[in-house]
Amino acid sequence: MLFNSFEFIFLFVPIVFFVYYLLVYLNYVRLSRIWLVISSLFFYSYWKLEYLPLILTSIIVNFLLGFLISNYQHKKIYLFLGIAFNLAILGYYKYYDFIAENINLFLEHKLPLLHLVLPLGISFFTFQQIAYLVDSYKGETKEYDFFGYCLFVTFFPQLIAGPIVHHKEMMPQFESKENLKINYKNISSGLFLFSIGLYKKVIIADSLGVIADFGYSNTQNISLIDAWLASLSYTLQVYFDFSGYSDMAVGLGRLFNINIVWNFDAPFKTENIQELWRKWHITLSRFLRDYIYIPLGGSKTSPLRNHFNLFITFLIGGIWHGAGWTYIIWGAMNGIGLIFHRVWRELGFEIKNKLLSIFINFLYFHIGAVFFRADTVQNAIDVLKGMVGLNQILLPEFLKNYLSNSSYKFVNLGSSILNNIHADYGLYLIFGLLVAFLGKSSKSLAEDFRPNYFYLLFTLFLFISSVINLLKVSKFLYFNF
Amino acid sequence: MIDENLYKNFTIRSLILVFIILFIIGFLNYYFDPYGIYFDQALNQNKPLVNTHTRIHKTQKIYLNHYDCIFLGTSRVEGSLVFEKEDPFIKKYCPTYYNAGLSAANVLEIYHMLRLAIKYSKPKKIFYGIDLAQFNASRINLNDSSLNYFNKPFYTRITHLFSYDMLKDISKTIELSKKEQNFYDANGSWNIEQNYFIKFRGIDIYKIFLITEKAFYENFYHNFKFNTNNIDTWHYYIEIIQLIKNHKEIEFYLYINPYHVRLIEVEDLRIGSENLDYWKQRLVLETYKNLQMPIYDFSGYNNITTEEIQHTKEHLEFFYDPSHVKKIVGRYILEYILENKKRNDFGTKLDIHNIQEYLEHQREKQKRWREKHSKEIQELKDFLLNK
Repeated sequence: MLFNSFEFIFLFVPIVFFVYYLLVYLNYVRLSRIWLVISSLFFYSYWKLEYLPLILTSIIVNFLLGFLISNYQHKKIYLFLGIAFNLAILGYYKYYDFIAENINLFLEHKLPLLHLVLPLGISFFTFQQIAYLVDSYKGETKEYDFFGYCLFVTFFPQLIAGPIVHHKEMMPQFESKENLKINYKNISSGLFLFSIGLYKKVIIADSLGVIADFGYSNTQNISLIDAWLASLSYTLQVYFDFSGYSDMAVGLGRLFNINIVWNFDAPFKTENIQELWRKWHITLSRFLRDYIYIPLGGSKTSPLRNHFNLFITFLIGGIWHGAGWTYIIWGAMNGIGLIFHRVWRELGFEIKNKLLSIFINFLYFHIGAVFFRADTVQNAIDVLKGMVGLNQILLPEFLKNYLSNSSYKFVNLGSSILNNIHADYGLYLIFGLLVAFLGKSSKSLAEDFRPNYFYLLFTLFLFISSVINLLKVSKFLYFNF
Repeated sequence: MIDENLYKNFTIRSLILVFIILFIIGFLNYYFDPYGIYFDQALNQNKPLVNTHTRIHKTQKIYLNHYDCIFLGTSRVEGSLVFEKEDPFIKKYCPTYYNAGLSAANVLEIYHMLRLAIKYSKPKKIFYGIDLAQFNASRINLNDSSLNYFNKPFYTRITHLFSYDMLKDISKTIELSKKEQNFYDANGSWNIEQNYFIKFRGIDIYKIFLITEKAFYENFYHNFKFNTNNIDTWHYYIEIIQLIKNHKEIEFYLYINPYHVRLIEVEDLRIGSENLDYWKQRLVLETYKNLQMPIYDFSGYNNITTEEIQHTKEHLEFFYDPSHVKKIVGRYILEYILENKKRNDFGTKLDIHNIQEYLEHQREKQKRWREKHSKEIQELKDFLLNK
């Protein structure tokens, strides 16, 4: 089920909410938690029922292994088995075809391709459970019952596209008696945040997606303007799409008095790539740091080894996003960017101008996003060539009257995006840039939130304008990761 | 410290206001019903925007009503199977009928429309007018949100109450309804005499032909493929055949729509005559193999499809443009299918026994037509290739 669908907003959430608090009111606390688990599994399997056994198996196996790790000897073996089990599931569903294709290509084998549909949220619930097993090994998890564990994994606001949460962040909240009371402060700010997220997704991200899809659908010989329009639209689309989803997740969590950690915090206002990755997909960065970078030795190693660790960590981050060379290149680019930033800082260099830093930082991330979006490496190269003017330079038709005859030696008319896409979408691009660079983050907006008429009207505007545009339903980009 | 009651008031007020605003939007969309999906006899009778929202309009009609006969296909079906209200011929075979043809429909949409019709409308007879362009896989988008109209008609009905696009179109409907008449009649067929030629009035018929032929060259037949990585159009045709096979209580009639032979020249340039022959052969084979049923072919070279065109502003006898025949031809089609009444050489029953011979015969006819129209063909090719 999608957050941006009528059935989710007007049926699923109200029913789950009222039944949950009714059960709590009737003092069926344990049943109320089971109700949340059942609802979350329904939410998960609404799209494809056949993946329900997969997530249930994953939960049962990880719960048992966590129990064994916490209570028995040979913890290392159970941990190893647990990580291997999770990676095997992920590998089979997500990476098998990619690996087989490359083996077939380079080693001239003929391994069959499976063409499996990626189970929703598999990367998220797998990583979350790996983190649980490692935390159990470190003795950082307490004993909870099976339904408590199920709720930790399946709680619907964060099940499909994160944030990737820790056991210790969630379980005490589910256990807290205080959190069983209806809390209007949480509910009102939850509604506000959900509306912000919905607006980001439905109005901004989906509109930008129209330009991006058009541009990336035909990258061969893409012109200068089209390449920039398409690539910028995508960079902003993925930001508003995913941060919108995360805002909705935080908002939904608050309806049940559960504080879900923030996943974004105005990343495009940052001045360097390290800071950007602390504010972009925060919980993934945290996972990669805690469970890959630090176990590899982190920064407590030689500079060279440290740089290698950084590179490997981001390479894994790239592969986590998808099975393809474009994701590997994207991950590598971010790793290299971070190493470059470290070296630059260690050598004592500094860009004094804040705006210039923000611009360079964004530009680097943006170039990486071209690989992130493109279907193939060649498509990404086509777009990058277009962006630096190596393809044709086509201007929009309306400039016809302003060009002298001699200018046609260098440029021509007929920008295909500007000729084919409605001008309104261009306004969304400008609006998106303004919000991303000048607007407050959702975290700040939530902190500023007050129950007054201004916020009432603001919430209504965001919610209603999004709901009446819901019929252009589209999937969240991060569902594919 | 902010009083908890303020948060409670905020929550309750926002929920009440959301409810009121959505109720008003829903009421306006329901009352004005710009796409004609809520009322059969709508309050605002004239709804010119149905023309641009035929998929949602027609799926709702099929979802809500029982019809004895349903016509499936593209705009060729919409424009040709047109009957007067009390026409005894259609009354005899189809006391109630609905023309569910959809402009530029592909085989995937027709499959979904057929499923919808069988499930909700429960017709006694279904006529499916087949066209080559329906099989162009590169024009099909599997993620097209309008497929929801076919698969989730009730959901569509409810959710469109809260549609911003529909809300915007209320004012357009009120404004346009004073100037334009409905493009469709109550049975889903074109009100063509009143509307179609408004935009073409006074234009040379030869020019209308060229414009339409170019549209086929650049659009419908562009990048023609029976299958892409994601979609195989034959798969959906076979699904249609399977549906027919599983519903023996319904009489099915399959036929290939007539179109002017000049379009065969466009097909030749874009797709190749061998592909056209392959398409017909496979259509006949798949149909006969599963249903032991013939396909009626009204395309190709016959006394209707070879109507001569000239530089004139007068209407032709059989054609609006090279793609669309007039309702008189639609009647000939049904007369042949239902009463075995054949007008000269218009229409042939094809099955696996005669398809090969028929195609060879068509090639001979084509040769003769080409010899007679060589100058016209050259002009057409020059126009298509911008020479």
